[in-house]
Formats: sequence, C-alpha cells, structure tokens
Amino acid sequence: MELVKCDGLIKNYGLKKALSGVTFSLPAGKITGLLGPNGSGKTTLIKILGGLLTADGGTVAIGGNSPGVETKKIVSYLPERTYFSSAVKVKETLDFFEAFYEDFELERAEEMLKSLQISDKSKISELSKGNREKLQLVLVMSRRAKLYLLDEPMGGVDPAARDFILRTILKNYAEDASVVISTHLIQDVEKVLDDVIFLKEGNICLKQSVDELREKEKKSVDALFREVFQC
Amino acid sequence: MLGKLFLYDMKNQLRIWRFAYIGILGFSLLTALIRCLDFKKGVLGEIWGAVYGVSKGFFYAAGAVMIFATLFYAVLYFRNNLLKDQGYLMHTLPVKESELFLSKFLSSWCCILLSILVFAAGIVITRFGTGDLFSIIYTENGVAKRISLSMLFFGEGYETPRLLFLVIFFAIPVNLSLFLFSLTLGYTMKQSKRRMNRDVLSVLVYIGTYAGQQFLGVISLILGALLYFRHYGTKSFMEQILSEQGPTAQLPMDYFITVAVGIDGILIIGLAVAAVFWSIYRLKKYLNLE
Amino acid sequence: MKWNFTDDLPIYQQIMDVIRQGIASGELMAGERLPSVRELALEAEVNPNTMQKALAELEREGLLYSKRTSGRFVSETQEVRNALKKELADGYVSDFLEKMEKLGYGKKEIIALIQEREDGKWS
Repeated sequence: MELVKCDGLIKNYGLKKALSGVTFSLPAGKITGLLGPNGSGKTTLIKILGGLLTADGGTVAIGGNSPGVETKKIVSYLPERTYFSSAVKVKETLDFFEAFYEDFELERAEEMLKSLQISDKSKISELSKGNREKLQLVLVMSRRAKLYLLDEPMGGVDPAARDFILRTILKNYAEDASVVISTHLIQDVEKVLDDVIFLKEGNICLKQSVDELREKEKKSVDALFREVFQC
Repeated sequence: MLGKLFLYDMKNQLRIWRFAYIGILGFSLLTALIRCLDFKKGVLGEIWGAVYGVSKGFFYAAGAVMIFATLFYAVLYFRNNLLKDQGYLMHTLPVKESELFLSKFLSSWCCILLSILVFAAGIVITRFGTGDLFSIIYTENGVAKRISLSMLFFGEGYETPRLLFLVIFFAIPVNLSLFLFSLTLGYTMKQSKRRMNRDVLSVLVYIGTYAGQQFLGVISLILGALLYFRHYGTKSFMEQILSEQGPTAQLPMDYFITVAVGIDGILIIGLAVAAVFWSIYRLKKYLNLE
Repeated sequence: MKWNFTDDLPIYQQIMDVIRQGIASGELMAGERLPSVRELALEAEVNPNTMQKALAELEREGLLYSKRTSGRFVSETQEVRNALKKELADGYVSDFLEKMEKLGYGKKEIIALIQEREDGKWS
C-alpha cells in the first residue's frame, strides 16, 4: 500500500485555483522533492497532507486514512514559520512534543540540541532566527513519524545550517518513512532526493526519479527546473 | 488529550495572570495593613485616612480591571494560539478540533473564575478585622444600619449569591462563547475579492451576535406575552392594563417579566451552545492559516 | 574518500566511480569492510537509496561482495581488481590522448613530451 495517495485534489481560494486535480502517490522509504515556483500550490498541497487545510475536491489518503487525528499521529510537519510563542523556553517545547506525540524521542532531540549548543533554558525570543529554525527541525525530525513534511526548510538559512538540515534528514532516514521536501532551492537538496515532483500552477507537470532525469536530460534537476520554469 | 490541552492552556494563561493575582492579593494586604495602622486623631489621621481611601480605591479598581482583562486576554490567547502562527503547531497535533476549542473555552472560563476568586479573597482581606466581611454599617439619623455589599453596588434584588451564580454560569460562558465564535467565523470566512482584515471581520461578526441577542430578547418578550395570555386570558390582561389598580397589577406583571427573562436566558444559552458547535465545525472544515 | 558530484550524470554512477577509484588506488583495501549504506550515504551526503543502488551495482560487477549479516566487503579477488585498474587506466589514457589531440599534438610529440618528463627526473 502506498503511504500517500492523492487523487484529483482540488483547492480553490475564491477565484484562484491553487490545485487543479493533483494526482500522485508516494511509497514509503523515499525522499521526494516538491518543486515549483512561489504560488504553484506547494504549500497548499503540504497543508492538505498535514491536515491543516481541507481540499475542495478529490481524495487524500495517508496510511489509508483521510487527514485527521489518525494521520496527524504519523505525520510530522515543519512549517515555514516559527510556531512557538516567544515567551516559551526550549525545555517547554521538548516537554510539549513529549506530551502530545507518542513517537517523540526525547533523548535524540536533546542530543541534537546539545550538539547545536542550544540551551534548554533559553527562551525562543533569545534564539537567533537560524537557531529557531534548527530547533523546530530537531523537534520535527525527532519524531518517529511515517511522513515528514518539510515546507521550505532551507529558506533564509546559512550554508552551515543547510548542511545540518540535510545531514539531519539523512540521519533520520527510515525505510518505512517518507520525506517530502517542498522547496524552490533545489541545488542544495538534489543529492538527497529520490524523486522529484514539479508543480506548476496547481498541476503536476513532472514526476520522476532524479537518476532518470539526469540520465535522460544530461543535466541536474536544478538546471532542468530553471528551464521548465523560466523566470 | 483534552486534559493535556487544558493543562497546557491553563499554564499559558496563568503565566501572565499569576503575577496579577499576587499583585492584587498583595495590594489587598497593604490596604488592610494601612487600615490597621490607622492614626485616629489629628492631621496625621486625616492624611492617613486619605491614603487608606486611595489604596482601597486602587485595589477595587485594579481588581475589577483584572477580571475584565482576564476575559480580554482569553480572547486574545485564543486568537494567537489557534488562528495565527501558533496554529501550525496546535492544529497538527493528533487531537480533535473540538478538543482544541473546548480546552481554550474551559481554561479561559477557569481563569476568569480564578480572577473573581482572587478579587473576592482580596475583598475579604481588606475587610478583615472590621467585624463584618460582606456588609457595611452606616449611620442614618443617628441609627446604625447595615447594608450588604452587593446591595450597595448593584441595588435591590441582587443578592450576592444569585448575582455570582448568574455571572459564573451565564454571563461569562455566554460572552466567552460568542467572542470565540466571532473570532472563529471571522478567521474562517471565505474572502474572494476584497481582503478585509480578519480582526475587523471578527468584530463585525460579534456585532452580528449582539444583534442576534437583541433579536432573541424580542422573541422572548413575544413568547412571554403569549404564555402570559394563555395563563391569564386576554380579557383579564386587558382589564389589568386598563384599570389603574396598584398591587394586583403587579403580580401578573412579575410573572410576565420572570417568564420573559427565563425564556431569554434559555434562548441565549442556546445561542451560545450553537455558537460553540458552529465554531468547531468551521475549524474542522474551513480553517486556513495564513 | 572525496565525494564530489557533478550535475550531468546520475549520482549513483558517480558514487560508483568514486568507489572504483578508491579500490584501484588502494585506499579501499582488499577484503576491507565498507561502512553501512546509511553511514556512507551520510558521509557522501546523498540519498541512502541512491547509495544502495550504487553499491548493489558494484556488487553485480564483482567489485564488492556481501556477507549476509556482516555487511559489504571489497573483493579480495586479485583479477577483479587488476581488471578494474586496467579499465580505469585505459580510460585515463583515452581521455588524455583525446585532450592532447584537441591541442594539436600528434602521437610522436606526445611520446616526446613524456620522455622529457622522464629525463627531467634524472637531471
């Protein structure tokens, strides 16, 4: 059974069609890149998978279930923004994840934070933007989820941090889990991907493995992306 | 998960209010101390009396403000935690939307009640040693008379227990429910063309609910009148109105008022409950965090 | 091992090249046990499936073999490694000759150049 199965997903915002019939499926054990320019519907699709948005048409199944409480147990979502209140301490965020997520691995998270030199006692407001993003990544990846949804994890982050993010994703890899990385910065991420999905104006215009693409087009996915989405 | 959410929400709200509670209680103690150290005579006595007056006044004002502020903060907290960036965290938890909403509702209700409790405790503290906690003794024409505090503040017919019961189990939950509903509807409404600020939309929705409450008031007056007619018969009602009798005209009037108010209360509670259900439905289907 | 990847080839092929170089140069010794797929993938910063594909291919070619529970090892067979060395060497020579021909050097001139270098060593 495919881990993720989408069929004819439609989402409209008033007159704007964000998704117009998106159909695809993802097996477990793959790292997939969801690529497309801003406004192509990436975040909308990710939100629907994460259960934060209800589609207007079509079906979504994650592990056989429609988005809801059951899927949220196995989906770990990293949004583009800081989702903690600034008054909260790092330790409290760890306690929070520990309390609400059965699959959260506290020791792993603490280890990663220690290696990043982020103190338990710091408040969110005291952390740099980079550290805040790393903290959220650590929390999200310290769950033993089946589907990880990372929305623009590399945006606005320095190269060292980008390396950390990629290494964390690789270290966390499990054969029964899948990762979806939504980004428009493909260069950094390409080596880590199994497959890519190109999303253009609410439709999938390409879905292939990185290896096949490189063999066929004799260029990197990044270069191909620039061609397909001439800006 | 509701229990965990409830504790989480309580902790978050108390984070702010515990300082206020300590402050209010501290101030009440200070006021009581000032009163106990009263210099009864002379100029110093006068000044001290004024200090006491200021302290007492400040305490009462601060206490009242705190209670309303707790309600205001509860609404703000709901907005920031469920409808803004923090919503990305809360709505991806493996919990039902109903649990998210109810947890906010119940914890906010509790915090407001706590504020009232703290204020009441403060009042008790300031009045400690005066020999009478809930009433004041004053002299009228040389005769000592006693009047209860609630009578003093709110007038005839509002004994403290009944008033408190109404506030705790009616005024607070109904208003809370309508505030939270206004925010929820404001933030989940579909906007196609002109994008209006969501907070402004919420205020507009609230005005709508207020109009709704008035509408229900009118309905309950009509229903009350209908029931009144059924009970007393049209003829006797007309007779009562047309004659200018005093006491006998009163009783049926009281009945009418009681019935109308009772119906209004039930309708408004119904409105509040419907608002809760509708809010949860909107969160489930139409949530779209920006 | 240095993991540098270019854009135009599939990554798994480039991984295979790096490992072949390692075996040929002796950096990876005969019978040496390779790190696990995950560790290698982490080291090279590539997708574990991609790494797995590369290693599986090398196994097929006989450069690596795996023992069920103990992991993957570099082939101890001398012929296999010699064949690899020859193959790589041939490839380098072809590349070299192609590039020199583009510059306009004929075969005699190329040999003379090499001789110069050789003599340079003794003087």
